[in-house]
Amino acid sequence: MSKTVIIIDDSEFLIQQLKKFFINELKLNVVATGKDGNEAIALYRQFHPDLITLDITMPNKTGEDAVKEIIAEFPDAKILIISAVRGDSILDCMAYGAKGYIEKPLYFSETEFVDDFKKTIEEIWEN
Amino acid sequence: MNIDIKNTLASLADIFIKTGIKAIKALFMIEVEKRQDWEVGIKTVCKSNFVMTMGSSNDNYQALLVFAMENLSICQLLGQNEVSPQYALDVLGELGNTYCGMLMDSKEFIQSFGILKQSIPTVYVNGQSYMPCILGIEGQLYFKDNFITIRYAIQKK
Repeated sequence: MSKTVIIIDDSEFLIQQLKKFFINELKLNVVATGKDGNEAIALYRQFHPDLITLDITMPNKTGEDAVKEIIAEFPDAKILIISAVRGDSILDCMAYGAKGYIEKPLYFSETEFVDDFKKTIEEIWEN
Repeated sequence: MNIDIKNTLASLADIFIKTGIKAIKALFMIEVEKRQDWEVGIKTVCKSNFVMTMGSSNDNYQALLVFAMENLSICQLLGQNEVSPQYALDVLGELGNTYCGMLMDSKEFIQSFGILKQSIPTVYVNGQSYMPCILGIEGQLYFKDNFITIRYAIQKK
């Protein structure tokens, strides 16, 4: 059975891109998508996915806050940050318990980027 | 007219063009090309079905990125028959984020203007947009029979 993923991003366009990538390239099961940190927490509770991807800059509740709350409730949660934000926020997310980070923009047309993306997810699951 | 900025923008023309090509390829997985040279000048009015603006600034400079697209162009870009204003804001906003982010990866740009932090995008639909009277570089990138106009205007604070 394929592993389950939840995608959280305030851009519907990027959600659709990520969804296509996860389904077609990684053969994963995208069980839900959401647009802010509140939805991330609610969907995590509902689905207990194998992976949740979080943008950082989002309305209502940021990805950073969502990481803190998800990890507090589910310490083993596999959280992958996918964001254009550079600097301290990334380090904070990793300190709060996120397991990996992919920097936007998403170069799905480039083999090297796709390979790195796959490797990052594999490492999250291995650890 | 500020000659210093004018010359700098002209000397960075390749950076602005390549950034546009790379950003569009990254987001939409399509190849676009420049068919005419991009020009440096002042433009105060922009008329297009969809116009996205995104400001950015640092302690010394303030800039405005503008994307303009006709309805047919954005539909072709996204492979859809119709694009809602909200979705256009989403897509062009992401393109703006990507473009500004990639520009900040350019050593030449940073040496000239420093790192500018971008603001949030705004999209204007089916109207005439009035731009601030500041120098910018502008040109088109073509895909099939359609194009996107990109303008990057910047001034000293």
